[in-house]
Amino acid sequence: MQREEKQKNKIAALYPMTKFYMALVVAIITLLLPGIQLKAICFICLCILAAASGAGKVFVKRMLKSIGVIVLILLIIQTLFYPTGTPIFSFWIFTAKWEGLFVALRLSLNFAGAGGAIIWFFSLTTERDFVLALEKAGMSPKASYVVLSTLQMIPVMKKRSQTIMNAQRARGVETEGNLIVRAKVFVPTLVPLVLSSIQGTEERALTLEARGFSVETPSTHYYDIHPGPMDKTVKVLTTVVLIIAVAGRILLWVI
Amino acid sequence: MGYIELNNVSFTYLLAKRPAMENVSLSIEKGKFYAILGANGSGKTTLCNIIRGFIPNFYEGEMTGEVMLEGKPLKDYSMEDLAPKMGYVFQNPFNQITGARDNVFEEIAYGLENFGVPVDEIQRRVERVMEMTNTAYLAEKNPFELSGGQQQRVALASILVLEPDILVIDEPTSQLDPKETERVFDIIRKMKETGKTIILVEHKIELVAEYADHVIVLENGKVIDFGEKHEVLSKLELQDHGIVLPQSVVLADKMRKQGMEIEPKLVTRDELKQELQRKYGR
Ligand SMILES: Nc1ncnc2c1ncn2[C@@H]1O[C@H](COP(=O)(O)OP(=O)(O)O)[C@@H](O)[C@H]1O
Ligand SMILES: [Mg+2]
Repeated sequence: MQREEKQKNKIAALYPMTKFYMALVVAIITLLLPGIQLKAICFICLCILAAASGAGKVFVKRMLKSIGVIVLILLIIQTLFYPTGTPIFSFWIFTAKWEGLFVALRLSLNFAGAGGAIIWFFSLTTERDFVLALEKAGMSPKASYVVLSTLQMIPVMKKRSQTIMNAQRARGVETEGNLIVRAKVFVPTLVPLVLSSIQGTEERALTLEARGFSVETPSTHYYDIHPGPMDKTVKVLTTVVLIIAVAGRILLWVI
Repeated sequence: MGYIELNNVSFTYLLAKRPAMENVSLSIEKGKFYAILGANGSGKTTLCNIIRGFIPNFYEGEMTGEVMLEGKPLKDYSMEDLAPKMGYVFQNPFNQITGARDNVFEEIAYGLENFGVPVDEIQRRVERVMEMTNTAYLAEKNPFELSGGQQQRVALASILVLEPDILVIDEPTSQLDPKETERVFDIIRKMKETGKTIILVEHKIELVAEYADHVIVLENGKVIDFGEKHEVLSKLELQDHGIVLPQSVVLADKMRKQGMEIEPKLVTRDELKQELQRKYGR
């Protein structure tokens, strides 16, 4: 039952580092190119890439939840509070200005391009694969353990604090209500949670020791990932795109 | 010269008022099964940690005396040498889930990965251990989402898979039902048959009486009795120290008081049954 999950989608199946490089290049190009139109084109390309890699739905959902909120705030603040410029419309004491709108759009597209590239990457790549790739690229196994175990512990901690809350509710402690009520419960919930985790840490460290965590011999990977034949091609193509973009930017700057 | 020797070992945890282990001397033979008995807080876990070398290497405190493994002081072994030689299953199963892997199969495989065992051998060894510990059906589950008893079996499997020469196991059946408990003892018996040395903390006295070779009895950090199981477990005075004795020992004592003639030192149900059949059976 070797866990070699074969991704059906060709882009999603690329090696994490390849995808990471692509995301990085998309982010760099978006930030590098001047003007709203060019940045918008970059963002559209990213959206197409997301759709083509079969992560369209997740991408849109995550974008709206994070970048979408930032963009909305930017648009409102910049448009309404830009100090000088040509008015678009005005109501009450506010006047919306074209200049503000443009500044906001520029910033938004930068966010959408760079942030979106990262979001795209993580909608295609599991943390596990990413960390494994980093480890193979030379990151210390200790660092990769910290990342993976932390990611795993978060839901466990959530569940535990829920259990403690329930226990306290059963003892008649008020756990719902306004902020002050909640704050009062917070401390008695936190103390056992922290104490039990600290106590656990000691034994967990020894457990790792008992499992050969600090043994110097190079470890094997039961679940493993390797770059495929496509990866090299994609990397070269991505580099070509990057070079063209940089060259174009320099050309625009010179003339 | 024993396989493992403790020479007059005492240990006081940092900031503790009294020693958790006091003047303990033991000699442990290779390939035998030792059970540690004692009330809560009597120092069973501390003794395990001393034998495994986590005391004084990891837990802070004052230690005197010496622990020897195969004639060499334990402190001269590196952690790297010791890890594959001596497996340790902790008391609390939850803390033994490493969190490095998100399914049971890979959690059990994790130690083998660290020791650089080839993948096809990992596959073989993990499958075998899962079979043995009845954890195969959990292979795809997240180890953190298991019940206490399931985690306990995964913790045991994670150490068994390393195939260490010595197994130190601290209360491995505290959250298991009788069937799973019996399975654990059966595994330990099989391990012993392959020449492994077993040191087990366990409260379930009937099983200790049946499976163990030697018994170590602790009270307040001191060894109050140590020896072959028939010798130790038939001592009625241990009851005054809060030790529960096997039913057959208590029963035989009652029968003797009724005037029946019963051989001393019968510690398992079968031993008593055979004796009764021999003397009183038709
Ligand atoms: N990490 C520690 N720090 C301080 N004292 C400890 C620690 N662990 C155990 N003790 C104390 O040492 C004594 C023996 O504990 P332990 O070996 O855990 O007993 P047992 O396993 O038999 O229940 C107890 O009095 C306990 O409170
Ligand atoms: Mg204990």
